[in-house]
Amino acid sequence: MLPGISKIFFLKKFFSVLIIGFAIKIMDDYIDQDIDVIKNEPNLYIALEYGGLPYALLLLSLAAVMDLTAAISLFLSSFAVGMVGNLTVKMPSGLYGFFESIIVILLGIILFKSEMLSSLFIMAAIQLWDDFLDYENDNMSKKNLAFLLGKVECLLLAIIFFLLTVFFDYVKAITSIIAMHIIIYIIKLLGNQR
Amino acid sequence: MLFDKVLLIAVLEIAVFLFGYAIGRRVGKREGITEGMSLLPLDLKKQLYETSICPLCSQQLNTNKNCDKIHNRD
Repeated sequence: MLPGISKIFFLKKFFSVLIIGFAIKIMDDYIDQDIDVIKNEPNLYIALEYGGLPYALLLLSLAAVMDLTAAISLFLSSFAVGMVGNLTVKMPSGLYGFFESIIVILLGIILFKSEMLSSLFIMAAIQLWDDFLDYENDNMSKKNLAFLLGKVECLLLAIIFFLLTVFFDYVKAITSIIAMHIIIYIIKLLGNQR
Repeated sequence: MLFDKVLLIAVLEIAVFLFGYAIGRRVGKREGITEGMSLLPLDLKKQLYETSICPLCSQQLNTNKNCDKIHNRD
């Protein structure tokens, strides 16, 4: 086990990150469901049909039971990172996506302090890494950061954000990367089954 | 802590590299476009001279008459 970290702490954090990862994936797929139907890509929300929202809330609750700060801070970070690209789109709250992101980040920092920073950095790293891998598939997409910033810039920024996460909370950095690969593998299996 | 120091130095080094790379790529791209645009007319003329085919519309150059307009078929 990692130095200075008990097995139970590591496992609780790992399962919390994994479960919240699934909840975030369902939320992301809910937003992207129309695009996924057009592209004929696997979508967790469509696969769960009407169970999508209850399952996402259930997973959020379970993750919060395992590790409250990690789960909620990761969820807030995913919300903030997802909304930050919508500069000119007004959200149902009446605010622009960018302002919603800032409010959520500030709220998270007030509530969770460095835990929120590490969550924010790992979410940004995962988003950048995902866009880097998707560059060939959707290189004309205006939302793809690898297309907007450049491929190498995207990769280097992902590395910087990952190293910053390691600096703040290396357990979260490791568990998030493992959880990300598990989720990608399961989504791939879901895609193959269709 | 040594590990934290090494991490921060690595982050700083990558950030500096990223900054230089991002600026260099954008400036280089702009310079490349300017250079390409200045070479393009010469290249088109060279192609026309070598092949006697207009590189824009692929029409054959009228070699029977000595005329200025290459698209003039008379």
